Amino acid sequence: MSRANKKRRLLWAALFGASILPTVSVVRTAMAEPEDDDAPQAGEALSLTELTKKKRAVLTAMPNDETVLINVTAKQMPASPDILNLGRKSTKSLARCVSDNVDDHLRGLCAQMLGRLGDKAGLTALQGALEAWDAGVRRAAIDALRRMPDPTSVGPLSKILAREDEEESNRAAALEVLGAMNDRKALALVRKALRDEPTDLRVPAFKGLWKSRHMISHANLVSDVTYALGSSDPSLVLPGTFAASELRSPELVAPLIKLLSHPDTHVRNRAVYALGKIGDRAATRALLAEVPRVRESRMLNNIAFALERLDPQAFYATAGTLAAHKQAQIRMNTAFVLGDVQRPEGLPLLRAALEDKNDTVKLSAVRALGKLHTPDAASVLERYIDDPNPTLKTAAIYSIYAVSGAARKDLVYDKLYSSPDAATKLEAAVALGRVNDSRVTQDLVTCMELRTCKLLDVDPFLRASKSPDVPGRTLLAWTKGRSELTDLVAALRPEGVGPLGRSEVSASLAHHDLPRTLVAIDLTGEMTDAQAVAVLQPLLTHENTRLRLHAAVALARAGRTEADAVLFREMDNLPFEQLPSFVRLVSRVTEPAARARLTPELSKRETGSDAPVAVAAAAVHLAWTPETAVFRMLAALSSPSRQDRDLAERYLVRNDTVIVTELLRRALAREGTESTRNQLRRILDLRADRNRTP
Amino acid sequence: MFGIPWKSRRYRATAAAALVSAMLSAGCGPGPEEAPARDAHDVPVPATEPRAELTLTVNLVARHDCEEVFDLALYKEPAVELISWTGDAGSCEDRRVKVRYLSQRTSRELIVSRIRQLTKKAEVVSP
Repeated sequence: MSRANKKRRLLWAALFGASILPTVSVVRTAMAEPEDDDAPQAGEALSLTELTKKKRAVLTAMPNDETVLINVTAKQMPASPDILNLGRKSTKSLARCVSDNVDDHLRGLCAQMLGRLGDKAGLTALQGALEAWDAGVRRAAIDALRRMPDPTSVGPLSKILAREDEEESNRAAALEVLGAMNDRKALALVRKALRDEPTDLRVPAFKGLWKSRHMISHANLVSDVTYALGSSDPSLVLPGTFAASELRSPELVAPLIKLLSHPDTHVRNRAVYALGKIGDRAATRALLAEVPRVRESRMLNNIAFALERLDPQAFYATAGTLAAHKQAQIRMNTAFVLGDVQRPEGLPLLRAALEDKNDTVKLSAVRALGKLHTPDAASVLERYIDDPNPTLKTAAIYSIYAVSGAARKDLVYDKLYSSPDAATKLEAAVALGRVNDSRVTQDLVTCMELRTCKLLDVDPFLRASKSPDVPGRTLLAWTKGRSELTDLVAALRPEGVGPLGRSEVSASLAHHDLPRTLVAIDLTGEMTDAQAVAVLQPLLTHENTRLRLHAAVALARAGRTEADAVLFREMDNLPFEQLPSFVRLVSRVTEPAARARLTPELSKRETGSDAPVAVAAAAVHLAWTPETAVFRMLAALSSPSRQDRDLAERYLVRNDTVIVTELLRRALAREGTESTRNQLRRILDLRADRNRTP
Repeated sequence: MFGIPWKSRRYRATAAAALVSAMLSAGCGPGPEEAPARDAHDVPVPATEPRAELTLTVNLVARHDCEEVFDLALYKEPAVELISWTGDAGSCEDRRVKVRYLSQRTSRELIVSRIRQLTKKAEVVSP
């Protein structure tokens, strides 16, 4: 090695050493200095093992010693999931933490936990924390109180508004929460704030006011929404347009029309949407005048739907003009909209669009014709069956297939399933699977295994299939870890599923794989397998609440009455936020004997004073016997409490059965109270939107 | 039964309103545009009350929400308990619908007549 090279190497080594010097120094310092938090009493750092032990000791003491969190440090505080796992048994110690711990960060954390538990036993501590010196603690308390509305919180929350030194964000949060308190005094404060407070507080005031809408007269509500719509602040106008869509009052048409020229696209779109929902013909002229100015397809669609609803004649006249527009984009959107409104009156315009020189317009028309459900559309499309443009050809075949009500499935089989292109073939197989065409069985089983298609698309086919291949191959995929196949496996009941399910419970438990253990327990429960009792019984006392619950449900289904008590004990102790999961889980119970056994305790809870538990019990009933249970949900929707109404809405939107849609439509047709009618309308819209979303 | 306030004022009032409404309308009920009476609600019907079913094939008035519009209008009939649809949910043509009704409060003929008013075409399939 030459001297020059040696010198160069030494120089590089020196530079490298200099560059890492600060890092080494920091690491040394960090390793040498004990963390203050680790040694609150002993004056020396706790090892990781000791810290884990300490956390475990704190956690174990929480249900029985309400003072245990008073002196803990941030490092000793158990993790949030562990605290939530204790459920409401941790309320008292968390409340003392909020009141008596000196660490503001911990007080805020404990307040947050109390909110997530939703146990009203924590109210006093949270209300007291509204006077904490630290703004973060006060904020955490406000947010927690939002989750457990109670009139006793109105006074302390009002003081937040009155404090001169209060943070603006806390005042905003307090306004929203006050609106959810079902209290006239709180409502008066919120209404006053909407008009008197600075701009930043008007949006939360409006949101709070909207939470109280069931307590406000129609005239006042229209006046408040009109005020929001007329605001110079777009962030207030936007929630106003949402409110107008729900209120559907013709008095809001004029302020909404003014918004059609609003600079914010989102506001303009929502205004058009609201006008469509209101359905007042007074908006027709304004909407028609907008059409030539529109530059976005979403806005055009909203206008078209609004016009179709309030003046179909004007709609088709406008569509005729748009179909001849010089911009291809607008002609394409027009064809799209004509398809979506599904009226046969669109046929002549779409037939004309097939002659368009632009292929995208033509394609949009072909697809739209498939939505018209008129046999005349099929005859128009026949000429594209062998079109050299493969996209056009495929779209035409699917449109003919749709118009024929699947009667032309052989066309899909002959022209698309036989395609050498794998994607085209699979798409055709999925379409044919929807009408249970057994010729595509192998394709759909394989695509389920390889995840090349959506399970949702092939699930009904696989359930209905008579092929002996399907149950075994589905079970095989499940054993390879495909937990999303659990319900399908349960429906197919393949040979050997019982022992496999039981073994999977034991194996996943040994591997500490909680999610997999839970699905294995659910599958075992579906099998109502007597031999599973030996595996599941010990889990009723497991430290993990979810595991205990899943095991209790599986055992209850198998007729083990000792599991019933566990089920209800857990229900009463669960954090507020976990009740929807409980509802989903218990809704799985299909066995009449188990339902009959569990019903008396559920009914008792439906009439209880704890709103989240009561509505959750009613939601389980809704899943089991919708026709009788719907009335308890309707009572919650008409309740003076916003919390009851919101909970009922959430469960009614989540239940996606056809019969619940029918029961809601019946309720809407017969409902005379405006606020309940509006909420029913909103729930039906949310359900319909969810079903439209792919 | 399920914690519904069966004996509450609201239940008694709404049940009475439904009964009076049923008696007065004799199954004809309000039209689709008519709003329900203030404070009226859907109410449970005792399981012991006789029910009957009717199946029809209908062509609905074409619009994107044709099924819902039909339902909302027919449910205004207090004697109509449940409507069930089969077939292509996206279509307004050639739909099969089953209607369960309270046979002591209305007649099959009145239900068929109301359905004919609400549809472009309706043919009874059974019974």
